[in-house]
Amino acid sequence: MKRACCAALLLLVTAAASRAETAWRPFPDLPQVFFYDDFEGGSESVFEKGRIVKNATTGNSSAYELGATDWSVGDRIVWGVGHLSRLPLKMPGGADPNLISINFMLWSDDPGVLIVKLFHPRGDYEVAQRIQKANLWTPVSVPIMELRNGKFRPEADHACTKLEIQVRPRDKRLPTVYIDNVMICMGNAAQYQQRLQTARNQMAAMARNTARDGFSFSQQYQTALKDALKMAGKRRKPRTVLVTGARLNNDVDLITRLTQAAQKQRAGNFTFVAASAPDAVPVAGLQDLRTLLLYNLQKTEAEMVLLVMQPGDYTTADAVSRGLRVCLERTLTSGAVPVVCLPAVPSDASGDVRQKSDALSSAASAVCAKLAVPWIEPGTVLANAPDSFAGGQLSAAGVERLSVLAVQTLRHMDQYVFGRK
Amino acid sequence: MASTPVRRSNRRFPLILAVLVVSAQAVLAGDVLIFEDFEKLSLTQLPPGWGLREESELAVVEQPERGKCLRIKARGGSWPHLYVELDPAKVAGKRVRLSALVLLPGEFAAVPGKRWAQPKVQLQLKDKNGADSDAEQTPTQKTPTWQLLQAALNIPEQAQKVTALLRVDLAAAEVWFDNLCVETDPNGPPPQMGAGIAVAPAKVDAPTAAAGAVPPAIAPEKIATADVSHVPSRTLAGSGVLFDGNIAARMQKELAASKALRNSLLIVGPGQPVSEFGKPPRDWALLAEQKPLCGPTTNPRTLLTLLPEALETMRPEIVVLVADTKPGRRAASSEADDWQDVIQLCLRLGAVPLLAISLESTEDGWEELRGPVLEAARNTVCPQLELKMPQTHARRLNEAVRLIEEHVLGRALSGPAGEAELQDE
Repeated sequence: MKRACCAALLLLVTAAASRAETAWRPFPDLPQVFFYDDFEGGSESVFEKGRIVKNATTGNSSAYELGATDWSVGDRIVWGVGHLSRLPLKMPGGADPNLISINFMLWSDDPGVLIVKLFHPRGDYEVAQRIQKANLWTPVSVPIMELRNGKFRPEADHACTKLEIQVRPRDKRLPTVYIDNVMICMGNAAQYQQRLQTARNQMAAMARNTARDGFSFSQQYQTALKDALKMAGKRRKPRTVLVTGARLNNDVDLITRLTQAAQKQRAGNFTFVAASAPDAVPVAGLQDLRTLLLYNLQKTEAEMVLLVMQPGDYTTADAVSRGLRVCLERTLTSGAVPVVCLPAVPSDASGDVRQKSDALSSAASAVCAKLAVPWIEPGTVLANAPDSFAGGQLSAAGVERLSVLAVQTLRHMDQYVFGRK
Repeated sequence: MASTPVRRSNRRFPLILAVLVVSAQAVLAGDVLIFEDFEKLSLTQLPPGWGLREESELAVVEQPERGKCLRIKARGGSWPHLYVELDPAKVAGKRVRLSALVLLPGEFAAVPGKRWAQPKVQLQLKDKNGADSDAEQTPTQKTPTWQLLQAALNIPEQAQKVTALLRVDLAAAEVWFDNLCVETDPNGPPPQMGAGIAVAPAKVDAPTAAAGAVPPAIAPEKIATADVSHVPSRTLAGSGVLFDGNIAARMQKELAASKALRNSLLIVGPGQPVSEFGKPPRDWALLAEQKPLCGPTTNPRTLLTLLPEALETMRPEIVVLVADTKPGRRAASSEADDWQDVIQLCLRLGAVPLLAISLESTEDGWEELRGPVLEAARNTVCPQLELKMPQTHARRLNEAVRLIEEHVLGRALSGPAGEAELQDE
């Protein structure tokens, strides 16, 4: 009997461990932290109803100013709503709610009442406490088991969808309230500060955005791509890149320029292969891509695919979305990492070309964001260089600049997805 | 669009035809560098740049119903061949294509450990650095009809040597070659059928066509795009075949010009083999079944991965895509898109797709597989046949192939495949 109990306990522990392993966390190295937001990521925050500010009170860092409610009559309540359901987070999601706490820094110019509220699909629960000090940043820590709604309270199998933070003022004027460093974690938040900083530095090092760096990447992309590769379970030729739509310019070969750019960046061991039909005709256009991508992936065994799009690929937004999604899904399930290069269009292009290009870019980037596939925005490196285009198409200089950016992106994938230095 | 059958008794016709072929090629394809039908070639007085090896095993002989041809009767263990050295300057930077008609009615014993030891047409290249590369194609054994073989290479600038060869390597075999043709193909992709140009038949394997001197497949042949206004309408509910003017028009528009073998049929898909298909329709040759492309382990993504290579090497004119005939496989989330792209792939590579669907089943999980195929068929507008009662499979396949032959490929039916044969069931 004792042996059976031990076996059952072992099974439970194993199941719990495997469940914890697969659960989403903002910092994979810190599985005890369920949620963290310091509002430095701009529009990436899941909080709504207020706004991100940077002022004398908050110093150099950003904080979140709670906004006035439109539903409180008489009371001048301010609030902020964190939409946890927008993240792949399940909280408590099987974890012991007795160990979980909601922590944040609070600044209020009114010593009113602070209300912390959690919603889950079948209801909500809350706790209210008095704000001790006004006009001063103070830490707040609320164990979620203190949240109640009558006899209801958090349970392990709940998955919270929203976190609401409200302040009801003592005076009858609209208070000014800021929150910062919101963290939901197991135990005391203070013990994670140092490790959190390390994890944040790592995330900052891998994060890229199209406006600043020319391509998009983040820790979420890394996790999603690694998961996809793991599920595919196929080994492909390292640093071999299949390039589709390589004919950007009739006189300049993109493959040659990519190889040169890789050598210049000391990434010379990348091999670039142009996608082609069995009769050696290059693959160009979305339709060709759909029909011949898997054949090329099998033939070349490439581990990355650079999908270079051109304004001519645009038919309708729906066709682009569907066609590109299909291609990206096929690439991922084949165990290769896709990188999409949005169309390069000269700034003085005619209205129709510009419109088509914008529609194509918009549809393509939306699909990429949804599937966590990195994409390259050529405008970042081409817009301010007038010699990038000649006769309405990319010039040799333009192709070279685009190649440099593409190789930077591929090197980034090599480092952060395939884990190579 | 079919080539006009040529009477064998007319001995001047091959010459006229050759002139026509060369003229057509000059106008419609790349430059024809060499065209040799062996009618006047003497192996003892070869033109400059031409040469032989193992002379005793080569001869120009009269082949019944074909005229003079090159025969290589290899005794085995030797390398008999006819070669032509091309001027590298003329072909530098171009794609060169070698083609020839080959007859191999017998079989030969394979040389252990040397799979390459067999008859072939071959293009050899030595580039500026002295590196060798080649492209070749080998004929199918025990085939009593003429086969078209082709090999193509992109010739780099400053190539040292480019050679075209008709050869038998090591094997003991008796092979006939005819209509040796070397041409440049500067435009890369073949011309679109929609532009009113198609590629001529590639293989002289149909009994009716075999009697005529069909020009080599590389000779593009002007066809009048078939008139779709009189295409008979067939419905799945009526005759079990879905075909009409819209389908014919779309197939004509989308079908890329190809090097397809005339009257050749390839059947693939998760539902294959369908034994009830029986023999292929009259005058049509069924290409050998490709194991990875058939059976319940196959899915549309497998077809997308492996079919391009098969289409390039086997060059069927029609591909029958047999969808699942029973449940068991789990459909991917993009199954409809996958089927749609398989259909489009066939058209892209010059083969007419014919979708064979099994519509009825009461088994669990059937809808999951059937729904996406129907959606793909709706989106792509392609010929279809329903696999319902086994005894009707062969008849429906025959009917669908005939409709495609007449209204998509634009050929007049050679036999009594009239309305009686095409009536609703």
